[in-house]
Amino acid sequence: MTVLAGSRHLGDDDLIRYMDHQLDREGQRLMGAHLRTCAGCTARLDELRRTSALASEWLSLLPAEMPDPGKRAVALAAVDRARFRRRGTGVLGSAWLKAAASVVLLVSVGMATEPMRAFVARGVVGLGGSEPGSAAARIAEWLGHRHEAPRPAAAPVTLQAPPEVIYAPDTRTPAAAPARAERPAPEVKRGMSAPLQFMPAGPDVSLVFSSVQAVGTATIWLREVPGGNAQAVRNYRGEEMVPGPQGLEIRNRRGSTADYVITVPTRFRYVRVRVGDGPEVQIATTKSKQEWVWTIKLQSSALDDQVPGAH
Amino acid sequence: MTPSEERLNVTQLFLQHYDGLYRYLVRLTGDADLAADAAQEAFVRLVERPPQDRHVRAWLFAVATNVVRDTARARARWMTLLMGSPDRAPMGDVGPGPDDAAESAERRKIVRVALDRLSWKERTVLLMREEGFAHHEIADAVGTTTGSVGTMIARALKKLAVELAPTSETLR
Repeated sequence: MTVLAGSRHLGDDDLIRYMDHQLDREGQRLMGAHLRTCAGCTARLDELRRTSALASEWLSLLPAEMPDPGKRAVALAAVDRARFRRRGTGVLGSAWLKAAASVVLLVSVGMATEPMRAFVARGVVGLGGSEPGSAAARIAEWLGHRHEAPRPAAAPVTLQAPPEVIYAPDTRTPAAAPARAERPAPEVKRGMSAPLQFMPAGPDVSLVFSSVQAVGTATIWLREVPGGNAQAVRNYRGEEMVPGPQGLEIRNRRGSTADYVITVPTRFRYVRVRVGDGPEVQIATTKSKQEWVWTIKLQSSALDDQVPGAH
Repeated sequence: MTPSEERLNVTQLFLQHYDGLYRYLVRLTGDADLAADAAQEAFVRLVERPPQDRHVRAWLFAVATNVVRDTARARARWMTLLMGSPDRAPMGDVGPGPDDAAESAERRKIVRVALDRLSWKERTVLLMREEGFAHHEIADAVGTTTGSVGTMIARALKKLAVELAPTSETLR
């Protein structure tokens, strides 16, 4: 604030702040005092007020249209999808907490019974060993467990790692979308995408695919959506989709697993799509009653080989 | 309502703020599709990365403003690319909008042109001020200090007046 005991004129920024009540009480008081004694500043304030009122009048001429119901529905569906994804984690966490609490309760009650004490004792021995004198052995003994000679070692068991789960593409679409049957989760090979599905959704068509990608960059090249109304859903590692001059660039890290949803307005009759170095494909978006299935190949990268432990 | 309470009901927030946000973005950009995309993106980000210590409405407007700005930049690059490759002209088939009354459309056009002559920041501060935001909230959205918002508003008002004052009677 440039006002100093009425000795200097106020700047336009001060006058705007005064006009918009953006000063604290003391600031408003000081400026008010200055304005009562300074005709020049008062005249400028009046002029700014007139201009401001005119600007409001002019700006009110701009369209104040509301979004059409289709756009609103698509936006709300996108918010619901995001909320659903977020809630998925929360519910899982909550379920684990509930399960853990149930186990604690059951064990507490069960410890009063002989079979449960024996069961827990076997567990303690299994975890901590049964060497005489060990803490685990003492706890087991306290629980009534008798030390037994170790049995001959059983044949080794090879544990199979569970296969990586690739979720089916999100089938949630706004109400305008036709009903479609649930599909089983697609098999996705490394470097390939699952079948790309085109789902009409109100004024848009959603392009959905799952992928297991190489390290590096995959570029989804959409002619008509430079802004990239694209969302990566169930994207565990937070890969970004960055709109650029070459299309939508996805920066993958090792083991990226994600489903992508790209929304294309149906007001475009065609969309050209190219992923990585693959061939460009032209798709008519006006066949809104149909469901398109198309497999695309994702770009591999030499970077993949340079990352230690890459698989 | 505290920020944490506000986060609890995203749908309610959507119903409360979507239309206002969309209207602001249409005025800011003059592009209904871009406005819808940015408004949607802002709400998705609200779900994914809710603000910790800011009022949700101001946060939504700031995020959407930045989305629009970034998209506009990307689009400018895109258009540059297209202009350099005439064989790759866009294939979009955008239909005409609804017919407005000629007079009303003419007035809108005059204001739109004048507004588009302002810088991005000047346009944003003017429109956010019209939406009733405090200067510190406007400063957050355009990435400047609260102190300089007053200066930017004053400059933007004067520029707009220079552009529109000659046609002021036409606009009434």
